[in-house]
Amino acid sequence: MSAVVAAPPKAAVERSAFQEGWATFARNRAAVVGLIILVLITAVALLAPWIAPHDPTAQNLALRREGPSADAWLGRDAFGRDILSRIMLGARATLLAAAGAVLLSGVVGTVIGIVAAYRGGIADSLLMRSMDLVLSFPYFLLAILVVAVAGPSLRNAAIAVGITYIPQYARVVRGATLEVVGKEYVEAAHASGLRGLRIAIRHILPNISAPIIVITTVGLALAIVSVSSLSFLGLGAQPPSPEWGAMLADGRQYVASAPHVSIFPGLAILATVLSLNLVGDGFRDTFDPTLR
Amino acid sequence: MLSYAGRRILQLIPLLLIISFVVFVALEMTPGDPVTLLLGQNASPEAVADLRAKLGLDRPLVVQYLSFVANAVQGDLGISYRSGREVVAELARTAGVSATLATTGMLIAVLVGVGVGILAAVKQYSIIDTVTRVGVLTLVSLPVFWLAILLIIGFSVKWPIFPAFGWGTYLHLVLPAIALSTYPLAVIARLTRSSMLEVLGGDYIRTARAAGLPERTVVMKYALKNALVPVMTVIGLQFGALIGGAVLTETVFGIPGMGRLMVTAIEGRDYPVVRGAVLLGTVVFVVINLLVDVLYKWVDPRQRGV
Amino acid sequence: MNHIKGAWPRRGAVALALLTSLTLTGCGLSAGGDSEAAAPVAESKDVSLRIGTSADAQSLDPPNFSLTADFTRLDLLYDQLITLAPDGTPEPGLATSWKQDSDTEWTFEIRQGVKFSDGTDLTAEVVKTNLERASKAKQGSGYLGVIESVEATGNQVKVRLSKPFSGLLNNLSVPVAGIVSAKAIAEGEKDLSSRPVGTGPYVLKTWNPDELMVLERNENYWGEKPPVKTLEIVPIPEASTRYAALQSGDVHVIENPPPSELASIRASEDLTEVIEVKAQPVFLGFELKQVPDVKVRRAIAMAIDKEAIVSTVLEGVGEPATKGLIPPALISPSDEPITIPHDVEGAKRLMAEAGAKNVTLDLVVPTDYYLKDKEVAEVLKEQLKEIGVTANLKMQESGTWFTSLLEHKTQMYWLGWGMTAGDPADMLTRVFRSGAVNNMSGYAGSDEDIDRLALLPVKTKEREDLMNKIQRRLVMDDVVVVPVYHSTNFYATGAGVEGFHTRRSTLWDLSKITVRQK
Repeated sequence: MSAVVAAPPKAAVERSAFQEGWATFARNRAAVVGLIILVLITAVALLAPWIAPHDPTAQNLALRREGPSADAWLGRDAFGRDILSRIMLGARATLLAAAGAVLLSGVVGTVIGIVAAYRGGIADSLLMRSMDLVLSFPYFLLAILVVAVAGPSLRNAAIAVGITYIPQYARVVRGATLEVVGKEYVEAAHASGLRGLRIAIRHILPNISAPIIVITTVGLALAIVSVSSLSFLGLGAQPPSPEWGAMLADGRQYVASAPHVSIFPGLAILATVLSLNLVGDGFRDTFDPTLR
Repeated sequence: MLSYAGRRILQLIPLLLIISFVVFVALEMTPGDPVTLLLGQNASPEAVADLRAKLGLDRPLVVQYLSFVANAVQGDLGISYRSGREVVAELARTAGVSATLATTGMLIAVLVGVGVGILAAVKQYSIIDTVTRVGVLTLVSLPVFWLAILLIIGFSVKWPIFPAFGWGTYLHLVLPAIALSTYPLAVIARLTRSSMLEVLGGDYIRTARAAGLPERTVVMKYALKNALVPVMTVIGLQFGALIGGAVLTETVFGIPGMGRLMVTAIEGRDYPVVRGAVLLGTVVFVVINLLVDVLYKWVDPRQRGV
Repeated sequence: MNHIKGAWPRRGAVALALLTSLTLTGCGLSAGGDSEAAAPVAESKDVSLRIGTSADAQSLDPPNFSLTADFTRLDLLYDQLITLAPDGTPEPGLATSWKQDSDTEWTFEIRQGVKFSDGTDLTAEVVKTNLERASKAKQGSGYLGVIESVEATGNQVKVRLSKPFSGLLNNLSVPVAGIVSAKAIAEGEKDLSSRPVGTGPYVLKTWNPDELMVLERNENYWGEKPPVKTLEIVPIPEASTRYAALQSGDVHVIENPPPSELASIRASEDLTEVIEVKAQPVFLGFELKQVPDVKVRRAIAMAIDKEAIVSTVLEGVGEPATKGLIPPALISPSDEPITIPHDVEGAKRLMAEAGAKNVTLDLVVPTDYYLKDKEVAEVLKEQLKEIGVTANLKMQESGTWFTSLLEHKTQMYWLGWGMTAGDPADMLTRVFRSGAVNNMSGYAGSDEDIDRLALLPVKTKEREDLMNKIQRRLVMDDVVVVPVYHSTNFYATGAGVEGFHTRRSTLWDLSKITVRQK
C-alpha cells in the first residue's frame, strides 16, 4: 500500500493538486488518527524482532493461559507464549499476507481493467465477462476451494483472497480508465505515436490512482478479515508462526475462561482494519470532489 | 426489459457450464481421494477399486464431466458420496435455511444501514456522523466468527435470552442474523451516506429547498429515492457474499445451512455435493443481481432503454 | 421460510412444563408433597435426553456407514449377533449361542421372537442375507470380508470363512455388523441410510440432518429397555458453542467439551465431566524408508514427554502411553514395561552417536480430528527442538492428511487407531503387517507373528503374550511408532443428569442414566 501512496505524482498530475488533496485529507481528523495508527503498526511490524520482549515461539506450558502480568503484559496463550510478542511478530505475517493478497488482485485487476477499457470491443467484453464469472462464484467458497487445491498455508490463503478481489479492481479501474481515455492528453499522446503500454503507464495510471488507492485501503482491511476467517477454518497460517487471525481463531476456545488469549489479537485486527477503513474514507472524501 | 432479462438468463447457461467445469478440475486437483476417505481405515484394496468404479471415478475427467452435465440438465445432480442422499434433496433442505438466514441478515443490514447512512449524511461531520461511522467500521472490522462467539457468550450464557445454537424458531434466528448482517450493514451504511451526500448537493435538491419545501420532505422524498439507486446494486452483490459468508456463522451457531453443507462436503471430498452447491450458489447470485438490475432500470429512468 | 415454526424454544417448553406441574400440585393432584424431591427413578421412566455432539451422523445403514459418528446412532438402532461385555468377553446378542466347528467354520443359534421395527421377524434367513450383504458392503467388507459363505438351516446360521480368523466374534459385535430387516433391504438399499429398520432399543422418529435427530424408545424391545424414552441428538460443530449450550441448559450432555474448560466444569455445581477409557492409542509414526536410522527414531522417542503433553495440552483428558501401544484395558500387562522413557540428555547423546545433525523431518498432522491435535503437534515440535530435530509441521484437514499417510508422503505422521471391535490384533494386522494398505510406516518386521494371531483364540494368554512381543518390537526395538497417549471418551453432563457412561468402543451406555427434569 505504501508503495502506491508514495509514488510521486506523474506528469499529468499537478503538484498543487496533490498538496491541496493532502490538506483536505488532514482536515478529516478520524482519517489522520487512522493514518497515525497504521504508521505505528507498520513500525511495530518492521521492528518486531528487536522490540518484542520475549521469543514469540518459546513455550512455557506451566504458565499456559496466564492472564496479563508484569512479565507478560497481555498475558500468555495456550502454550504459555507471550501474547504481546506474538502480536508484534504476528503483525508482519498479517500485514504481509494482506498486502500480498491486495498486490495480487491490484496488479492483475488493474491490468485487466485498463486493457478492457483501452482496447474495448471483444477484449473488453471477454475480460469483463470472465470477471463476472469470478464474481458470481460465492466468494468465500472460492477461497476455500483454492486453499483446498493448493493446501493450507498463509501464502495460499492470501492468494485465495487475492483472487476473489480481482474483479473489484478490474471493474473500478475499467470505469476510471474509460473516463480518462477520452481526455485530450491521452488522445494527444496517442496521436504523437506513443504505444499502448507507454500511454497506460505515463498517462492513464497516474490519473486513475485515486480510485485505486481508495479500493486498496478497503481491500487491505477486507483481506485481513478474510485471511483470519480462513484461519478459523484451519486454512490459514500454520503454527507455530504467529498470525493475528490464527491467534484469534485458536484463542476462541478459551474465550470463556481465558478471554485475553483471543481479545488482544482481536483488538489488533480491529485497530488495523478500522484504521485502514478510516484512511480509506479519508482518501475517498479527498479524491471525490462531490463529497467535499 | 423482458428481452433483457431473457438475455441475462441465457447468459447463465455458458456461465454454469464454465463454472461447473472449473469445479470439476479444481476437485480433481485437490489432494485427498474421496474413495479412501469414504472407506476409512478398514478398507481393503479391492473395496477401494470397486467403489471407485461404482462412483465412476475411474473414467476420464471429460467423460465424468459430460455425464454430469447430461444428468444435471435433467435435474439430477447425483447422490452424495457421504450420506447416500440425493444432492438435489440435500440442497433443498439446506438452501431454505440459508435463504431465511441470509434474508433476515440482509433485512437488518438494509434497515439499520440505510438509517444510519441517512443520519450520518444529514448531520455530516457532526458527532453523530463520526460515532456512527466509527461504529459501523468497528462492526466490519470484527471477524464474524469471533463476533458470533461473543454474542453466544453474552446472550445465551451470561444473559440467557436466545438459544446458543440450532434452528427451528424465530428466537434461533436472532443472533446468527445479527452476526451475519454486520458486514453488509457497514457497506450499505457507508454507501448510503456518500450517495446521500452526493444527491443532497445536486441541483434539484437545491431547487426543492429554494421552493421552501420542509427539509424533512426534501430528504425523505426527493433525496432518499435517488440516493438508494446505487445502494440497490450493492445489496445484490452483498447478497452473494452473504451466501458464502454464512459458512462461518452456520458453523459457529450449528445451523444446517448450505455453507456448512459445502464445507463438510469439501472436507469429505463429497464431489457431487460440492458441485451442486456451487452451481446453486451461482444461480442464486446471478438471479438476485438480475432482479436488482431490472429494479434499477425501473427506478432510474436514465437507465431505461439501455 | 421453511423450518421456521412459530414454536417456542426449549427453554419455553421447560418453563411451560414447570408451570403445568405447579398447577397440578396446586390442585392437589400431585402424589407426593414436594415435587422437587420426587424419586428420580420414577421420573426416569419417561425422561427425554438431549445430547450435543461434534458431528452429525451421515449414514444409518450399518455396513455402509460413513463416519465414526454414525456408530453411536447405529448402536441404538440395531443389534448385532454378539455384544461385548465391559471386559471384552463376547456375550449373546441376536445370537443366543455359538460354537466354532473348525478354523474356518462357525455356527450361530439365532434368537427367537425378535421383531424388526417394520414388524417382520428375525430369522436365520434374515441373518444370512445380512452377513452376505455386509461381507461385500462398502464398510462391512473391512470387518466381515473374510466371510466366504453363509448357510441358514432352521434357527441356525453356519458361517464359512475364506481363511482362519479368530477375531470373528469381535468383528460381529461392531455396529457395522448390525442386523437390518431383510424386507427393508429388499425394498431399497439406498433408503436405508436415512430410514433405518432394525431391532435395537430405539427407533428413528425424525432426522433433519445437521440439525436434529430424534430417537424414540422401542417399546417392543426384546432386551432390557433403556430408561430414556426420547433421545434428541443435536450436532454442534463448534466446541465453544457446544459448551455454551450445556451451560445454558439447551442440552443435557455434550461430547468433547473444550479440555481447557475442565477446571471450570469441575468447579461448577451443575456440570460434571465424564472421562472414560476408550480403545484408541494415538501415536507418532515414522515412515521407515525416510527415517532409516533407528538411533534417530529412538532419540525422538526419548525426546517426547508424554506426561507433559497429557497433563498440559490435553488437561489430563487421556492416558500417557507408558505401557505400550495397545491400550492397557485391552491386554493383560506385560512383564516389563513397554515404553522408551523421557530422557532428553540420553536423546542428545544418541543423536551425537548417530552423527545426526540439523535433522529436519516433516510431521503431518490432521486438524480437529484427534483431541487438540494441532496443539499437541506444536508441543511435539518444541520437544524435538531440544534435541536438535526440526519438525516441519504440516497441518492438513483430515481428507488430505489420511491420503498423505496412505501415499507415504511424510517422514513422521500423527495417527490414532480406534479399536471398535476390541481386538488389538486387528490394529496390528492392518497397520503393521507388510503389504497392508494402512501400513503407513512400511514396516515388515513382524509378519509371521502377526499372521499367527489370526489362528490363536481371542483372550488367551498365548495370544496376549504374542501381542506383547509384537508391540515391544514395534515400540522399543524397531521404534516404528512412539505411542503418546491413549484417548478417553470425553463428555460433560449438565444439571440433574447422572449416570451417563460410555463404552471403550466409543459407544454410549444409557442404561444407568437418570435425568431430573426441572
